[in-house]
Amino acid sequence: MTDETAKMSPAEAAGRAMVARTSFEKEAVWLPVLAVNHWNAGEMAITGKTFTDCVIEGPAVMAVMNGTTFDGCNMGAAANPRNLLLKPLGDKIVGAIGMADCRFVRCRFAQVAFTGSDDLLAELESGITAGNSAMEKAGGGAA
Amino acid sequence: MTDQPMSPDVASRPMDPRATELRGGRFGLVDLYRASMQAGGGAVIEGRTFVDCTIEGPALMLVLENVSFDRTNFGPTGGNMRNMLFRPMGDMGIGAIPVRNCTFTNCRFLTLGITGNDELLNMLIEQVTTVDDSQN
Repeated sequence: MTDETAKMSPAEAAGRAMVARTSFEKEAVWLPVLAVNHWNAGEMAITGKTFTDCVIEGPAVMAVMNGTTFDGCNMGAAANPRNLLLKPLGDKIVGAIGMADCRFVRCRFAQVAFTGSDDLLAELESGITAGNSAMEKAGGGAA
Repeated sequence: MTDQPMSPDVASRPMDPRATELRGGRFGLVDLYRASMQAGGGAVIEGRTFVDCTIEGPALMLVLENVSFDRTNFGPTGGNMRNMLFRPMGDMGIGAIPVRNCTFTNCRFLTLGITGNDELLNMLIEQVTTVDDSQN
């Protein structure tokens, strides 16, 4: 078996290693780089990862796809949860970062907005206030 | 990991993140935004002229006042300009990169989304003929 990483630049190998990870814990994750590393590996969405006690950094727009859940997260600094939400005008989404079957546990989002279907946006709108409130009561400290 | 540029060109070719004219480069909008902020350029990309640039996402551009697009290829959008447009549900542009007083001439966008007020979004829907370019 050939070790493909041996032929890659260090940056590319680091990117592939990031793509291969399924869990991230107590670290800052720069969402645009995570997305580009997936795209470079031929994966147009980020799937099947668990983020625990992480800070998820933008600026970025996350397209929340099937199976992605948020558990005890602080979705971002906004008095009005609608400020974190964007409605797509088309039936496809260009420019956002697709995330499917990902789990966010006690994470904090910074400069990240969210988009998706009308149902999802309504669900997020009602969930953001409750989630932020729960996180504040718990002390609010993601990594 | 947070200082890793998304576009290799940014690392390999010197670029002044506060230059008022950027000509012929290929770079990530997020990379430019972060570099500009770190160089003291503030939280808005402002007063720039982009000529013959390829500007990459993933990113959402918040188009503010006095931004013009001249001979711009908005990139692959699945044949529908609406696919790269987003309407803010609130009154702030969290997650987006604000751009003001900028001109884009003969530029190409890749995996960029655009948001702004309804007037802008409607104007883009009505006036832009997207060129779906398969060469990334």
